[in-house]
Amino acid sequence: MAQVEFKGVKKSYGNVDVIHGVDLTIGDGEFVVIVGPSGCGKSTLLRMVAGLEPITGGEIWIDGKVVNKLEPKDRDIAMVFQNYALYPHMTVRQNMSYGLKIRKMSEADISARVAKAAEILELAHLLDRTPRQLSGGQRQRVAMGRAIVREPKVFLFDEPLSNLDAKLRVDMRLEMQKLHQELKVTSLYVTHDQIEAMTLSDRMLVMNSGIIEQVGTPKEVYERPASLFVANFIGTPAMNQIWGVRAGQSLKTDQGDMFHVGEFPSTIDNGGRVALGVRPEHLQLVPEAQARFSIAIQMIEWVGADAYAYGQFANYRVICRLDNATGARVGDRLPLSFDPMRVHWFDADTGKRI
Amino acid sequence: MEKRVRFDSKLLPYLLIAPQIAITLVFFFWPAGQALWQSMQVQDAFGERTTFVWFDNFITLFNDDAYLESFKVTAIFSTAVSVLGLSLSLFLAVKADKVIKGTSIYRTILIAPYAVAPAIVGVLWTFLMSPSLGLVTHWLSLVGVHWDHILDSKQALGLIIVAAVWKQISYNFIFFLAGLQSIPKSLIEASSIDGASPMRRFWDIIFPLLSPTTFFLFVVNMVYAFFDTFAIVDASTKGGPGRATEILVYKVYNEGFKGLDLGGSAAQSVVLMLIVIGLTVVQFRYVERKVQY
Repeated sequence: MAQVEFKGVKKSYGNVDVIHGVDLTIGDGEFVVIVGPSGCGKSTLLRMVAGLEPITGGEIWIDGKVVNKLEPKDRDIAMVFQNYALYPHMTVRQNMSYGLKIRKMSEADISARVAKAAEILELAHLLDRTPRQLSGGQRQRVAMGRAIVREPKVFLFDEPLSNLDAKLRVDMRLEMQKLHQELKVTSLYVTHDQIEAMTLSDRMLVMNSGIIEQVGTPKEVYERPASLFVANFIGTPAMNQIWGVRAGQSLKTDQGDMFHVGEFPSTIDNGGRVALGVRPEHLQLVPEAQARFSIAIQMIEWVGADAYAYGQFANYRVICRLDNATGARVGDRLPLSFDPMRVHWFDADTGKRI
Repeated sequence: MEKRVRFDSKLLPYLLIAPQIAITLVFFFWPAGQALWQSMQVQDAFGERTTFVWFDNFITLFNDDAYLESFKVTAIFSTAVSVLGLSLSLFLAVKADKVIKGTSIYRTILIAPYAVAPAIVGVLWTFLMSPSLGLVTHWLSLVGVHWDHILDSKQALGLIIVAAVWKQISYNFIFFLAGLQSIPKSLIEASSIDGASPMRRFWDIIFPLLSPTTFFLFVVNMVYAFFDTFAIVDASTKGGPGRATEILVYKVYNEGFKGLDLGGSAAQSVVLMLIVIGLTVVQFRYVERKVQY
């Protein structure tokens, strides 16, 4: 077990910078998830920790040692790949013991470790099969097993669940959580799936085009998104955004519609341009007289326990969570309000939280 | 998934494959039948009388020391061509796979020998290694090797092996390169995290994954060495000195067309035909056993 530190880590291909300086400390035994859209540099960052991509600036420390110049095998890490990367010509047992064999561990120790990992992952009955005789979920387990037997200082996961179907993904997610609680090994996990990020991580790191937008616990990130990007990226459906300027106690949208807000943060000057964000679940259905604004329902999405009404205010799409019992229909007018404490304010120019 | 086309007319499908059938009949079954027929006949030197002798030609053949010697030469030759050709081209493919800049130039250069006709290859190497004016002979003399394949039978065998390997490397190279590129990169990365050195990575991961390709190429190279090297031999050593480089296919030609022993030569080509049928069966049977990933 170990601490992983990033000190001004940068990556560029020729003149193109893909990671613009990452500073972060991952504590011993912590599970950190890097989440972001495809192409944001999250996999590259992980591969730099693994030693599969050279680091072009800054330093990465694992367990108090700079690993920039170390080969992957000398970094004491284990990695689970998106396509599992199992050796197709080896049995499950050989796959799991290959790394140990190379490290010249004794036969007895190897089989003890493999047996232990197989028990944890319920693979014992599959040890003599080859990967092609296994289902997707089983292959995933073997890939995890190969990482576990090594007993490394750090686990690296590169979108390990994205090749599984939806149901299996939920099961494996729960198992990963259980496994982490059991083993308590420092883990770095890359995904584009925000649910995985929210459920698995002790802390999550939201990345966008090579920049860290926010680092925090899932709760912090959800409740206090540091930027418009994070607000948009985390949460389904996405947060509603209304752009406009402050006019006294009201917000005047770019299209000229006005509605009463009440309290503004003191840092927003009268006439200052801002973006107001409010999550769909924080919009309340109120009597017409108390409404701040209203929308006409264009579409309703039923997702089991909840329903989401889609409408438009000024030029902005507004999504509102409805109680299933509301009985609202397409075409109805919804008078809406929100608690001023539950809205988020973002600087219109920088996109940063105010 | 299998795609089946249904024809309304019964005649049309037969009509469509008729050209292919015609070609096979004229260029394979007819000559093969002729060879079978002739292999059981004996002719006098002037072709005036033909006698049907059943399997006498074959019996004579396998009691002939020269024929058995030719078998031995062919075995050495084809094994050497296959093993040398495969290892050299695998080495080149592994190296070419690592090149990032100017890949197409390297590949084109490596593939070029395949476009050279076998007879030209024979002539080319005869010149390069000619005892009196050869360039390679000169280099060899610098390191103290005296090269004269006109007199030395081992060196003559060496010459046709080198020429045959040189021509076949391109073909092997293309297949090995394609095989290497179809190995997922993450497997190599996983093995480097597992701690395998580049050498071990090659022998533990890459080589086993290439085994279907290697096996396929081995069979193809055997067939090539057995049957397609006639022109190389004819253009360089002509089977000599003595019979040191007289491989089976060359012997068929020598005895049939030069010695005019049509029956014996036909019997030899029937033996060769059986060998190629055997190799083809092996290829169809086992090449399909592919490693899946």
